[in-house]
Amino acid sequence: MNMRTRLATALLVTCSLLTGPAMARDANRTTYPIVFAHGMGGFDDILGYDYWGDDYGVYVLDTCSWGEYYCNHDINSGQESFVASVTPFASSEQRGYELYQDIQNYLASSGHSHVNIIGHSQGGLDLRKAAKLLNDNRGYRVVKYGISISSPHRGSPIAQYVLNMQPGVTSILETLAEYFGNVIYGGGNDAIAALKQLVNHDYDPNDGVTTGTYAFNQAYPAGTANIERSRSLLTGQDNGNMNPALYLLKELWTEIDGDGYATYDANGDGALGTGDGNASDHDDDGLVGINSQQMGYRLEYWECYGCLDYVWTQTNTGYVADLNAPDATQMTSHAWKINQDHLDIIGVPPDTFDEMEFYAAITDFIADNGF
Amino acid sequence: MTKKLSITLGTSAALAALVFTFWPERDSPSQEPTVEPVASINAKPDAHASAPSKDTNSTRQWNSDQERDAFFIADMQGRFAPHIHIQHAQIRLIEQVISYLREHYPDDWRSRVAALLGASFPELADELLNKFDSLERYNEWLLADRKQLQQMSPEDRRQALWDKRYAAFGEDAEVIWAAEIRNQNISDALIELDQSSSSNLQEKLGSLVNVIEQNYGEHSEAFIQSRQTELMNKFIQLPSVQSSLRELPATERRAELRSLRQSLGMDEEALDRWEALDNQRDQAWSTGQDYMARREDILSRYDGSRQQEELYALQQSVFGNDAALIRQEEAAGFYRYAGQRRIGRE
Repeated sequence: MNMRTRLATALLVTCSLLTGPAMARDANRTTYPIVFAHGMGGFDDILGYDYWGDDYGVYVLDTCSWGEYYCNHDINSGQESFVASVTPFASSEQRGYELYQDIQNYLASSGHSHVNIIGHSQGGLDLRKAAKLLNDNRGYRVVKYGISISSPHRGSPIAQYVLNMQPGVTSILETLAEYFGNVIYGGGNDAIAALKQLVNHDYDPNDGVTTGTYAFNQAYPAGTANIERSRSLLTGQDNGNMNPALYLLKELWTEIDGDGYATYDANGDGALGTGDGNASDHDDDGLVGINSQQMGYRLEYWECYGCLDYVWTQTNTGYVADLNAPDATQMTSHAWKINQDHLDIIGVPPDTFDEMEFYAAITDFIADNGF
Repeated sequence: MTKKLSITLGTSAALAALVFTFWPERDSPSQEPTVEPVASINAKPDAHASAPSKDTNSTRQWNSDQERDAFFIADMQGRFAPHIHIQHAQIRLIEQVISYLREHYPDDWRSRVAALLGASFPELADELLNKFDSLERYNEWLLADRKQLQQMSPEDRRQALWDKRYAAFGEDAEVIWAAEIRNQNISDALIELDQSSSSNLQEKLGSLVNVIEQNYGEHSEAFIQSRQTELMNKFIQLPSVQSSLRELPATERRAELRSLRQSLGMDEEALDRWEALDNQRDQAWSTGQDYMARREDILSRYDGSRQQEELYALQQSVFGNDAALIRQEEAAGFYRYAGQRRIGRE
């Protein structure tokens, strides 16, 4: 009996002694549908793969009909969802407006009056504007849960790096095309506006427009005015495990040091705050530092063997309503951070992250909390 | 508590107690701050604390690595047994095994893959191990050639990816990426429809539905029903469809839109909601385009503070309560009524 066989046998014996767990796996159905708001680049051609899916093209909230396999078996078969689509490269003023229009369309089709929105990356900014416009238009708070994932609420150093044409960047358009695909060349895109949106301060005070996350946050805050419950999931990972798409960025960019506290962009990298002097302590996800990511309360994601993974609210780091003024804890704490990079949690391979169960767990969290 | 737990044997009872101990509380409305901005909390910074993932919890739960491994295997069996004959399920299982082993055995995870796969599904041990090797090869290639891939056109990139998938997995690749093939077929059909000479929108939409039926078979009706809005969005934003809609007089255009939406299964109530939304938008765009013309006029006639005063007054008179929002957007460089309207979408 070789080592491999012995190991397998030992595991089987232990397994039979323990017996299998039979906990329920299915996520409960949410009362209100879930709307997905994508990040920069969109899902038509983001690296050539689907956005809100596993690495093989299965949509994360695809419900299963009887006998169907290519769907998410962890969700309720009646779960409702909508995948919004906005201009891939544009300011969040524009994208948020488009997201609002898309949600209006969905509400007309479905007859729902409320939605939950999950926004990845820039989608987390867009959802705040959409929530305000929906509230203004309909006269009530339409958005129940607004959940951002890996969102640069206070800016991303990568955006400023590219705008500054730092070493390795010979053309802004070509650089973006390299990482997001040829979608950048599609009509209606404005790569410069998109990048300026993701710098904390007004990148060019002389260009006649006021850009950046700081101004956007003032106009479209988190908090309960337009979103009943604002929540965020934070991501951060070391270089060694970084998605190769992001690892390539490291050829251009030394590394984000994204977990220091300051009330302004103290290190001038384009994101509010500063570093703590150690850029290699999993304080960013390849594009966004953790000090940029909290909106409202943080959510914890907990992987479970034998049951559906969990997501729940953690209040220990407090609530960020004024996105321009988080406290020291909210900018420096790694608590509840998911050890994944910016692209692992969407369908960009290769990775081993279980997107299907992750989004099922978020669905379950929303459902269990009545929304 | 909405979840149902059923634990079958004695050892699991203790686990159940632990699970209940750590079960999350509901999100309480009382947690939500009512005043903005919320005052900073006085908590000590939780600098660099690890998230309490299964790592920390597992040290509480498991008496040994073998016990944890066994629990993981049982979980994988429970999840994947019904579909393990499907190649895509096999790949997802392998990914879960890799993820688990990397986390718990970072130094020698690779050497443990065969044992864990074999213990999970003994009858498929060799097949799963072969798949693991193929997946490793494919992912290594993705990593090594990423830069070249991203510099290709979408068509060339797709071809290169499929060449490698076939090389790594043979014909199984078509089962592993079946969902992607399905998605791609629908995307390709949309491009083809856009290029077709027919200006009959019903015919075009009918062709799209045919492609969906070919790809989704018995599940096509459920697919269309659940993805109505996305499908309509994708169809209606095709340049050729937009062009046809623009050529129609307003009343005919409304009728055409209603008919198209009906063809995708929307009921009368939904169609009426859409009609109300279309009317609201027609009015908004009419007002907005008039505003843009008057705005241009002000820009050409006035300078400096007078120009700002005139613009302010115009915005107030046209948009009323929304004037501040319009000013905010314009300050950021966004003019919602400047471009060509995307009919049926805004």
